[in-house]
Amino acid sequence: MPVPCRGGCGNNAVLKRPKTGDALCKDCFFWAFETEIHYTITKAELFNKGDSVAIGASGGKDSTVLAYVLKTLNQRFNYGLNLMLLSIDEGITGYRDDSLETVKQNRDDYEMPLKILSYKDLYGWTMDEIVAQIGRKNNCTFCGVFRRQALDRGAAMLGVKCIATGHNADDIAETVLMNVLRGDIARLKRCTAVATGSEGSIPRVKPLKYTYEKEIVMYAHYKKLVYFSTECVFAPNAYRGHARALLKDLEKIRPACIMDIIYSGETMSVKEQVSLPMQRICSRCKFVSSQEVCKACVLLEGLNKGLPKLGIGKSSKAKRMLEEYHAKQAQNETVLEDVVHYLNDTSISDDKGNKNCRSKKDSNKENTSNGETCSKNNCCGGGCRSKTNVDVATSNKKLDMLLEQYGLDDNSDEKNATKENGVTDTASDHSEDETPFNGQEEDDTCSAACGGISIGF
Amino acid sequence: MTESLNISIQFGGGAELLFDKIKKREVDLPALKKYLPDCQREKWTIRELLLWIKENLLREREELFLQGDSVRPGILVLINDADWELCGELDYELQNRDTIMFISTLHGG
Amino acid sequence: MKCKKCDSPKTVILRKKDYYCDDCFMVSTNHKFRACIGKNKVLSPHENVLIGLSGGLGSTVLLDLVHHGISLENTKKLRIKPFFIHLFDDNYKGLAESIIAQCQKYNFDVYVVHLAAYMSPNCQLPEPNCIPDVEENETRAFHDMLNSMPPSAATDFLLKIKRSLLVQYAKLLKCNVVFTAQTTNTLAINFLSNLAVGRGSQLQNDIGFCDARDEYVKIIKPIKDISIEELKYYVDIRQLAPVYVSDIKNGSMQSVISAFVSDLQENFQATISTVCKTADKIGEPNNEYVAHERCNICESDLQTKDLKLSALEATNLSRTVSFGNTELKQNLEKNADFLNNFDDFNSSMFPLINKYLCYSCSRNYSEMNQSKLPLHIRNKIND
Repeated sequence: MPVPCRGGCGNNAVLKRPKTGDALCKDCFFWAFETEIHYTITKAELFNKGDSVAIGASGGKDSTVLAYVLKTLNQRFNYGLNLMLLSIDEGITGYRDDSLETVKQNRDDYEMPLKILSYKDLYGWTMDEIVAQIGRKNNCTFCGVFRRQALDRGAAMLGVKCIATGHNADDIAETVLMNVLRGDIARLKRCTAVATGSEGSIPRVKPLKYTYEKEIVMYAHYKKLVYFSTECVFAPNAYRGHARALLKDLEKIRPACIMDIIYSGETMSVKEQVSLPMQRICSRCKFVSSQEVCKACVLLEGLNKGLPKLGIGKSSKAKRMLEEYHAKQAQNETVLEDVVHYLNDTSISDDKGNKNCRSKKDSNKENTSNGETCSKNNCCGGGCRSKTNVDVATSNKKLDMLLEQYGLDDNSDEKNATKENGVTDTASDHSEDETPFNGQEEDDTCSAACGGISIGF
Repeated sequence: MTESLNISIQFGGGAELLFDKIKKREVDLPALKKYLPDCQREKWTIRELLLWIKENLLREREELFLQGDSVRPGILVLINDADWELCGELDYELQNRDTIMFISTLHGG
Repeated sequence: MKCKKCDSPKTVILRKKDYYCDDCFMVSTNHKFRACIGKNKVLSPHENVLIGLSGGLGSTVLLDLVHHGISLENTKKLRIKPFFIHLFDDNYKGLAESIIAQCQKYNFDVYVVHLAAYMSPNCQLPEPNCIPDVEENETRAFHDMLNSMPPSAATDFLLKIKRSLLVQYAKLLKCNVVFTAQTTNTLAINFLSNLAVGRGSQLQNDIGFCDARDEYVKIIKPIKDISIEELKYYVDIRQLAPVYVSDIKNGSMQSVISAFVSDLQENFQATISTVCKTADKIGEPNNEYVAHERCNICESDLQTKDLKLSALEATNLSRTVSFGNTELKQNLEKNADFLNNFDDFNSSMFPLINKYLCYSCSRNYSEMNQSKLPLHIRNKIND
């Protein structure tokens, strides 16, 4: 027997709303859904009239619905916003290239300008290349760090006031659970904020913060919005998957628990004496960082020098690794300078999308014992800075030595028995005051450090 | 007399990847008593349909679609375009020409 | 392999790497117990302490630790006057009997109180060391109340009932301090459960060392830093016999969480300890009693963080817009900011919130048959 719509319109209901259990018909649902997002935006004062806003667009369900709803509300309530789509191309064949087609369709359907930024342009490496270099371990760390910065850089290029991302209520609740399980108190404190950002960086807002994933999917379904849905090919079963499975099992029992978990996160306080990493500016690229040199720069340096473990794990270890590396090599100022130069250069790509690829032939020649010129001919003119074709044998030897020294040996399973998949054994010696998470080794798992791709199937 | 049920089964949101990437199928379900002789019920419900799907359509990774005797949490079920929670979920009795759609929510956005 | 402290042969292995002999292990565990109480400075000399016993692993060890402590003759003597209480339900008479037997071994008296005592405002001290007869209509009223709620709400509510009874009986026995025997395992489960029901602001009291919600009675968890591994060794060495019964209802979120924690712990041995470490970092630096309005069920502070927008408002809005409202629609069309100053949200999702009940107790309240609450509580919360 059909259930009547609660909205009092006389129609039959088509869905049961998880937050309240109320049953609504299509039109009442559309109105309720949109009005709630409008409320989040106005009550939390996410935008100001006339603002330019970049919507982080992946082609997935959340960003598609976000773009559609923002456009709708912008018109309906005269937000006066200048909306555009910002998409990041990580260079993952068979995944990102397909979803970018969806983003382009969004651009056409919603009549919004689209900017696509690629890792290749920004950093000189595609994810395919990075994974080829470092293997399947820790790729999510790279992707997540790079994406975060890529969005910032893209937003800076577009000159927008803020970036709107499609994080929904389920994402936030899941992140709360995950941060508790991993002991990441700093992230736990920040993750329920509707707007995040600090001095010098472009704020990010989450208009879908209180919107359930179920309703996003239903909305997209009923409105026939087109989106792309599959799993990132480089991300196997992730630690985040455990938190997600738990959340889904809890939601089945009491759907309102997603709001309750968010409320818990919003109303909990963190003890003052916990030292939270201070937000400062990276000395190399000037972007926001909690360390002197930001993670992206460290990772890049590692990639370019054939030290794939650089930047994975404690920052102090990275420092030591680098110091050792420099001490053991002939000091090569040119290489470093180049890296610094390149990273400081904000005009990576002009509006026409031309790659600003500087020739690094000379520096490559003077490079360390393992350096050779980049042999990629298909890259802009052959003077590509993107990848020193590292001699595998040499680099592995050097790498093995470093790994051994710092006990980062891949084979030391016994040693790492208690340091698994994003959870430190804090019962063992823990010399640093940093949050346990800072010292994590991420093994075969993506802990969704990329911040966007959640793993289902 | 038991007639066979003609049902349209659809998959979306990535769920189709588990079913040979086919998004829509028309299916004729046999008489329930013939297919599941031990079944107590007379009519096909979603519960039995899931069993049928597991045995006849599901190509791989069963645990990504099913959990216990129901769908994995995170998979939405629409019966004639309406939320199955409004129709009795697993106990809904299938009618001829019904459309049952399974939409996965479990992926990035 | 030798004991790391005294070179005797090892009998105990902790965390796969620390070796102890029996004696050194016992000394070290005792020390953890005493250090926990000592560093938090909650006890005055000769303090009356009410100790809640559930019969489980932690409770059995706590009983033994307390007995050991007060039996010492020297300066290390644990200077408390202990009282023992066990809260029981009809189906678990066997458990109550074994707890009485446990206490007899140490010559301790234990008061056995039926949970249905929650239904009446005035509690009386029963005869110690025996299972009391309880009036059938009282137990029926109690069970009716719990059964009128879904399992998650009932499991959460039961914890609050027990807390309330412990506080009441502590006052009867003139105890300002209560010991409860939560272990790292239960604390990890309770932490996640608290998150799931919206008790994020109450974590420090529910999971932390000290629950200071009552003006006169502090509830502390003196063995919270002792791991399950250590408790099991203790029980073996001292040949104790815990009996464990779970309070968690089938089909509740808490049962899912409990299974989840066990499974995760098997694959990632640091799970529980990490969760407990996180718990220690949550809350205010000074957790002391403040005279604010308190929830009538869990005694939590009703004064909440001043947030512009939280899940509470978002839920109330959902309810409001789901009920349709042509007037609201029209007003919104005229003024985009209309909702910002709108006071008239439908608050039926959270009855009595922040006036008489906290967020989570309010949700539980909305899911139960409200007429089944004890009369004395209904009187307090009805306008």
